[in-house]
Amino acid sequence: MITARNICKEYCDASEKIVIFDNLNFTIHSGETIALMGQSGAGKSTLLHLLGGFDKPESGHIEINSQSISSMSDARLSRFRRQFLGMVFQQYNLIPSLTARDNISFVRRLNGLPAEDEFTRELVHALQLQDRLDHYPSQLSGGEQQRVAIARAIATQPLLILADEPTGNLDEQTAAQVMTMLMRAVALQQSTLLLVTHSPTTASYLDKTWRLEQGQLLC
Amino acid sequence: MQLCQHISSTLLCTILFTCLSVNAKPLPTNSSENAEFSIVEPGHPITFPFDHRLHPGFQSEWWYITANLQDEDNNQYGIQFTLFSSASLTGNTKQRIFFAHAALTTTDNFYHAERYARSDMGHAGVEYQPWQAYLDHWQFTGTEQQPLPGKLQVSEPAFAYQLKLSDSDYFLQGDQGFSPKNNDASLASYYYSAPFIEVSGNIHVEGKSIAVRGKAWLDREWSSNFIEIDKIGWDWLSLHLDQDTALMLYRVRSNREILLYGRIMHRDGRQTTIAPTDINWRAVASQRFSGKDYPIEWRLEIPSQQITLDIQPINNNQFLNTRVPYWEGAVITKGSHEAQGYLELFGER
Amino acid sequence: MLNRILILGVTLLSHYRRHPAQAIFLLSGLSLGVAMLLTTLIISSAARQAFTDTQQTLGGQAVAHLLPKHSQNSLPEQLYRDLRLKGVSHIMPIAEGRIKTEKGFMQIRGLDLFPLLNRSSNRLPNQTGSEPDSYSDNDPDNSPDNYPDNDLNNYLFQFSFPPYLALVSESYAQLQGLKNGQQPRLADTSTLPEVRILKDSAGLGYFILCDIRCAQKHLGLTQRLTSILITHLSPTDKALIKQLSEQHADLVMADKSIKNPAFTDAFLLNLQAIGLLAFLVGCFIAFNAVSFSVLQRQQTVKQMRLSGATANEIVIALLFELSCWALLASIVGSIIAWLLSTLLLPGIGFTLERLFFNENILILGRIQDWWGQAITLSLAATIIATLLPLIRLARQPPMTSITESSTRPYSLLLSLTLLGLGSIMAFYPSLIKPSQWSGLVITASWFIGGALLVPSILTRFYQLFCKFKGLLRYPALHWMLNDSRLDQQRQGIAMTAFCIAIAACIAVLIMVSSFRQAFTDYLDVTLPESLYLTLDQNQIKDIKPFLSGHPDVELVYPFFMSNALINQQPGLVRGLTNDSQRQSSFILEQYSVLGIHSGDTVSGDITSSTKSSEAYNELWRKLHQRKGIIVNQALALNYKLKPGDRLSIVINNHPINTEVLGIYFSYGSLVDVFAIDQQWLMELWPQLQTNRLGVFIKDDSRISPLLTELTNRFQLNTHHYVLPGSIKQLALSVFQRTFHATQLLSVTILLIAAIGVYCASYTAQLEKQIQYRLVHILGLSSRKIACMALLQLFINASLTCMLALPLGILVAWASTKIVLRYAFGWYFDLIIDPLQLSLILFSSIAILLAGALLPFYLNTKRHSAKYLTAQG
Repeated sequence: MITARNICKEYCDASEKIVIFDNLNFTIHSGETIALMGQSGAGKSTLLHLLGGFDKPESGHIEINSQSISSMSDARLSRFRRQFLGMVFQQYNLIPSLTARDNISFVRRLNGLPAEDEFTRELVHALQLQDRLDHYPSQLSGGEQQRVAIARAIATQPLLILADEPTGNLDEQTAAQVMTMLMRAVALQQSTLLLVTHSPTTASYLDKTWRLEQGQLLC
Repeated sequence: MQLCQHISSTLLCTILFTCLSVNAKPLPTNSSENAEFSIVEPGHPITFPFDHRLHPGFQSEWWYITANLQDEDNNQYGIQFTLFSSASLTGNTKQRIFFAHAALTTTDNFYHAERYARSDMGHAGVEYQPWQAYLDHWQFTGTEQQPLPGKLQVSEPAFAYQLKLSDSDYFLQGDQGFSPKNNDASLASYYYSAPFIEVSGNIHVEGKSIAVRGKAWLDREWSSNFIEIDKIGWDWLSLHLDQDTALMLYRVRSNREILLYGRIMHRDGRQTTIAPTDINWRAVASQRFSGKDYPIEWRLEIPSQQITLDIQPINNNQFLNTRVPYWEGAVITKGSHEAQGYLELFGER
Repeated sequence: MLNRILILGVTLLSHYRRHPAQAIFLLSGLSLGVAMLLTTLIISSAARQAFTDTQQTLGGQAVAHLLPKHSQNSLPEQLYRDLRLKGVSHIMPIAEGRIKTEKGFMQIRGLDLFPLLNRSSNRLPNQTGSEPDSYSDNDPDNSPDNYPDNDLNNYLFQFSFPPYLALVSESYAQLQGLKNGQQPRLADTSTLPEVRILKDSAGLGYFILCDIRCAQKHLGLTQRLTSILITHLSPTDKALIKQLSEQHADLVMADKSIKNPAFTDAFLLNLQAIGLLAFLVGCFIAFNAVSFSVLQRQQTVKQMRLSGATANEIVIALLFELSCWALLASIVGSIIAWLLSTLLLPGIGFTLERLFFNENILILGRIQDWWGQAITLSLAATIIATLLPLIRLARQPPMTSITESSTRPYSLLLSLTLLGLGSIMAFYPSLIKPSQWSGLVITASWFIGGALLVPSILTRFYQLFCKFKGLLRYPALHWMLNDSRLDQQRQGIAMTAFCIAIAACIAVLIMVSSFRQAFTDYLDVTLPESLYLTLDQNQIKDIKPFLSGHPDVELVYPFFMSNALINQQPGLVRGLTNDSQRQSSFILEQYSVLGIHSGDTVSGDITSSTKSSEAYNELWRKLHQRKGIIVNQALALNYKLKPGDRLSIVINNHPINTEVLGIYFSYGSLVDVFAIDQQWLMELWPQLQTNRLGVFIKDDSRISPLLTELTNRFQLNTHHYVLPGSIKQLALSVFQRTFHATQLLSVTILLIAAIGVYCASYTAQLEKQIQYRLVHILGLSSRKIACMALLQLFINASLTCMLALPLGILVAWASTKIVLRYAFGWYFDLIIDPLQLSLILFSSIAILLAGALLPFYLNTKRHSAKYLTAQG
């Protein structure tokens, strides 16, 4: 379902060019859960950003569900993201002015879907957020915020979930809880999950582990 | 600040210096430039009463009175009154102004004032029927068409005087009144004096009104060509040697030469011109006023007249700090005569 | 320690290298605020100095004037001569008037320069006083080097004799479009002398100065003077003057001729209030900018603290930053203030001269004279704008971040208290006696209270809307409204400033419009005639019948106005002839009410029934039956008169006690005037001769031809006639100029406030980059995000404008009905033009949005990825 062909990505520093990927090719099938690991600076987050459409490769081609995101306009890309993607970040990135409930339903509402339905209620229950729905992000703990982020990402029943170190800011116990709930939620939806992590423990929750080293994916 | 100070220090200066930027017509310096004004030439004797009047054809003119006075206690005083007339030419029109200086000196203090007026405003002028010369309320009033006998009154906040002037004979200076101011006589004036005037009246000074008597001297001159500005200075001395004898000396300095002139006049009408070589008139002591030295003490020797005099002012500080400044004051002498008179020091030396 | 502080200071300042926009906003806010207030201070100081220096200038220094008696236009020159010959020395002849040029009118003043040269010795110290015009040892004028000695006569001659010179101050030359060397051409094709322009510091006023003979020639005053100026009046002089001038002139002491310094105070207070407003708005802009920089430098300061820098060291370092800003703002602010003052000063000076009879040119002085004030203002502005946020930044504990202050800077309670206080004072005058100061307190309370409401109103608006369930269907809008609700604490400051600025603009606009209308009405009422003629008796005998029979003339009548005592105070009396046409021309129709508006506690209630023609006729009849007099509004307010009250007046030493039959509007004029039957006036004052005719012409277009005919037929000159139309135009142009500065300043404040709002929105946007990226990633397009930002700005601005509108109207009402009324007795209706006000509001919002369009959109186009990895 995700196909990347000949992806080249580089960053220009003041004095030199840094090549992140050079002719990167991979395919991710529908329903797979993949942990992406590698050293710091290998380009894991960059790869996620490319797949999310909020960064563009220098060359190459990315198709998600037979749609080439490389050539989409901003408006189309926005629509694509909200319909097919869900994202979870290390810093949670909740909208501070909305309650947990509204954060969760935000993208659903952008898609014209009702704010709540059976799926979202089940999701909330699975993430144990039912008592925290009317609180603002500033009133939630880190774990709770991350769970809200997860709920938001999954609430639209996306085809693809991209998670960038979702447990990076959490303690071990909370991390374990969040991962359990994430996997449960992913299983509910049967979404494809690509998760960036440093932690082998976290990686163990997923079906596969890929390593990104020197611009190449080692599957 | 008062109006005039302010005006003088800013607006008036500004006006005057603004006017500087407009091409100014300078005062004429020699006879060839004075075609529009009448020129002083020999062969035009002065006649009276006609020549007591204002001479509108000439550029400059003055009526000059000085007097040496004493009160009952023999305290010395001096007074001066001068009315000047000055004209300028614009196109074919002569524009005339009057300005006057008045001064009173005691042995301790010196008071003076100056006034200005244009001729067409009607508060300054010289008239002859009856004769009067006036600027505002400073008035010199004569009798019929003559200035003498007359009355002189000046009133200022710091000083005032009201004096009666007796009649006197008039003495024509130079040649029938033609008085050269340089050796080739290209600079000259018409000049006559009345040296034997008896004075009585009152002066008001330092809060007191004082009755005074003494002697006065009237000088009259008019010309359009008698000085060269910026390059000129003169010393003038008048003395009442005794009851019946008067002496007048002047020394005119120009950039090229010095002219010395002396005249002895007698009450009976005789008068003698003194040869310049016979006059030894030299400064003995000076005092500084406004950045210039003024020789206020002199020695005078005229051997042919048996005159040997040391001349001293009754008050050193008789400097008129007027718009055109000069030193003029009452003097007394020691030596061959105990005389009284007036000394005037002007210009460059 | 010093080294550490320096390192800390430089590091903190380096933030602005990466964020130059913040530095620009900060500096702009401070500089503009300083510049505006400094401008008004400079102008006020110049104006006050001009009034103080009135004593020192030509004409203004007079201790008294000899003015022509009421029935004459000029004095005989002989009077001046006689005074001088009698020893009255400190006098100067003046010939002054208006001359018509090709382009309009100019004021010309002629004098005789020569007496200014008079000088005399001082009295001795033991004598009382010292005379003016005296020598002193230290007088620089005594130095002969000050004068071009023997050339003195020449230069005086050039000014005093043909072809003359015309001297003009720089400011007047600028206003009249005159240049050095020019010879202005007059309407009668003659020319004035060559113009020489003097620096303003020379002390000339707003007129052309020339020799007296020159002025007399152009004014048609042969051997006549318009006044004699007296600079020193000893008892002896006074007695002489009175004796000699009794027949021709009135001795008027100078303090009577200086008009109302209170007017100037009002005018200047107006300016200063605007300047202060701009100052506060500038501070708001700076506050916004520095608040954002504080937020961005939190991490830096945290690291500093963790590295061992103490809070005090950081405070000192930040104070160093504060000083840098103050210094920069003082430099930039001074320069802007200087430029603005240079631009505004000539116009304002001329206005003061025309309105308040101050003859002094307003002189700017040197920029370095204002340096101290600039530094002080700049420091004050910097402290107000930056001190609190910087101290919070310095004192934050190392491991926490600065949270938004839980204490709202603006309390709703404070706002309501102020509004309540103002309202009680305004509408219950029995509790606190109305006065100028109470009016100012009311105005300030409403202004500040209303402005402080802005954040509360905005927050509540958003809170209200966020509660709508239906909003969930519009997630972008829902997000924007929620975000705005939280954002008001920061936006509220800028919006408060915006509200103040718009309200001030509206208030100024309403007051100016109302004043203009009242002034126009006053001019129409005061100068209803088409033409005034000032003639001698022989001319009146010839001209009046000619005019009476002229087909273009509707009405001609003798015009009587003279001085009188009203309860021992000076006033004016007008004589009204009993002429049916005169009746219809009189104020009765033009002045809207016989009395003062109902509701005025001074006059009681006057109902509209008195406007009926029967009431007018009855009034006219009683007036000419000598049953009473009509007084103007100023007089009625001064003595708290109502129709029916009795009043004691003295006309020509004849006291009469009579009834007030009616009161007519004076439209703000402060001069006490009453009108009386003409015949009665003549009986009381037989020697009063009128030499004036008032003429009504049927068609205004026939004024010029009639005037030409009169001029040709009766050899009249400009001194004989006055065209009210021209006076009205001149007066209105002066009015325009007066308020041009005020309006310019208020519009400038509006612009500054708009910039402040823009800055606040822009910096808020920058702050919300992470959120914008987030919602972009979540699926909202850049265009929609930009639209939401603009919509937020639009809603904020619109709500603010909606509050500013009634606030501005209230402030205008309070200023007009209370401050001006009780301070100066002015009373006029408020004129509210909805179109004008709408234009201001819409323009403000439109300019704000237009300015924000591109930057906001560009902001949303920033790369998403970068902000996702930003540390929280």
